[in-house]
Amino acid sequence: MEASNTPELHAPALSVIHLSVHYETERGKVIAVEDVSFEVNQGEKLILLGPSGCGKSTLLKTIAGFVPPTTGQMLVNGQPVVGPGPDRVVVFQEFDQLLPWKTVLGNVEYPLRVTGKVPKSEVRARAMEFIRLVRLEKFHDAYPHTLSGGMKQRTAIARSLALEPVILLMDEPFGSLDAQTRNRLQYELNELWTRTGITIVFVTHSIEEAVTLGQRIVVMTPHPGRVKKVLTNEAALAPELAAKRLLELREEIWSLLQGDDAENGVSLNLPPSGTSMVE
Amino acid sequence: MRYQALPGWLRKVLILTLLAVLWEVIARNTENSPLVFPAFSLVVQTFVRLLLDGTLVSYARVSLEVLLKGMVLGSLAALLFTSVAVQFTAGRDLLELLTSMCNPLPAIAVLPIALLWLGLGEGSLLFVLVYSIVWPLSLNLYAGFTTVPQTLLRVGQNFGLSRPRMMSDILIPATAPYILAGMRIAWAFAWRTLIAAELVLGVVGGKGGLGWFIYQQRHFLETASMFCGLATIVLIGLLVESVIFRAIEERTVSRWGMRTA
Repeated sequence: MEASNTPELHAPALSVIHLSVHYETERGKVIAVEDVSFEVNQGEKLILLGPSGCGKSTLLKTIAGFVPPTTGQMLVNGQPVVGPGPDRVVVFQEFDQLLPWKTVLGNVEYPLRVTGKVPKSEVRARAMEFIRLVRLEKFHDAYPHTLSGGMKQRTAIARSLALEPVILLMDEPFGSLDAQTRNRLQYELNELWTRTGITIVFVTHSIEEAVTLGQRIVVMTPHPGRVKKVLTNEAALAPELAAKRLLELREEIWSLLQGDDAENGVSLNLPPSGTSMVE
Repeated sequence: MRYQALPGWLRKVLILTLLAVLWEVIARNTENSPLVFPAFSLVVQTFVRLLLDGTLVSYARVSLEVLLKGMVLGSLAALLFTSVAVQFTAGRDLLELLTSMCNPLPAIAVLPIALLWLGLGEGSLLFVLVYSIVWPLSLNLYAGFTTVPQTLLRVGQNFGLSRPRMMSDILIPATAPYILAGMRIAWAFAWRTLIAAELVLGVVGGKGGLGWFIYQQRHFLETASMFCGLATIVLIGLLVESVIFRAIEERTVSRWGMRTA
């Protein structure tokens, strides 16, 4: 169900209220997400960070409407939502999220057409505008299988942004890319965010990625998936604070996760400086 | 120039020429009457005559029309069958059971029953054709539908696609390699089955196909014409397989970089 795109006065873009997701497996009941509550403000970049199995991906799938919550509620622009809809567009990690039988342009145009987001006569221009935004205009008539991983993910981002969703949900979108491409796309995403002011919920297990991208970081721990702490990353707003604050944040997250049975599920590309390593 | 160094097509042309010459030499140097074993040159002459006077074309058209109807009906039946099999466990079991049971049974073997039920006419031919393609095609479609990446389905859900749109815009194109492979097999089965059925059945509503043409020529002892009928069947088979299907493949799954099933 699509929520209204006009935000109610002061309503957060997304409210997650006492959300739990349980499911049955052959080995019994699994509590993937347990009583999670947080809000995402309009235009905010929020990171869901945690080791594998902490329920961050399940939480994102629940927000997207692919998985029904066991208890709790979600509000988009202050209105309850159930099921998937183009107000919460997902960029997946998998490259096969692009339709292989459509070109870059076709992929970006398709959801604009089927959702009726813009009049038919404006679909092409709108799609090209967003393809230019991710700098793929030279490749607009290429089929996905001819593109590199980074270009595929940029196409998926353009396709999602063109729909102008209330929230852009990103499920480890750079997880299958090589380190260099990942860094470049992180930088580009920050740029895109500055230019479009889109609200982003971004799932990752990389502390580096979290502190590079997030204004606020929701740190989650597994068994059951819970919110450990919500951190504010001032560095994301004030670049001059960046170096020092990023180090502090990195170490704080590291110690938060060390306290738990995190099984080294969190990758840390740069280790925290040895002297201040928290046990 | 050494034989191995020649291009593949030229080597094949050479072999074909050699076979034709051998045929001609044997036919001319034996006591056989052309009524029993016509020379290659006579077959070629007859072929050109039958092609130019439209005889072969009109018989081929009858066969191809029935075949096309059968393929359309069979594809619809397979699509319907597979949609049920994808959604219900019992449907899947039924599909697996029926395919494994009916696979060893040549479609032509059900022709007598079809004749009993539907009478001497096109209905019986269609019945046999549909029977010959519904199983292999359903198996391929089923394999295709169950291997569509979950991410693609999620993307479709995310755009809020309706069920019919999900089917036509996501599932069917995502299954294209399997559909194409299934159609290829279906075509091969159907073409052979149809010719066999026409041989058995003969004239359908005053008109006959290529199978009937061959059978008829035997009565007139037009042996060269019989060979022409066989050649037409081979040529149409090759044409569909290596021109039509290949063109479809190049414009679709190859272009999209989709792995062929």
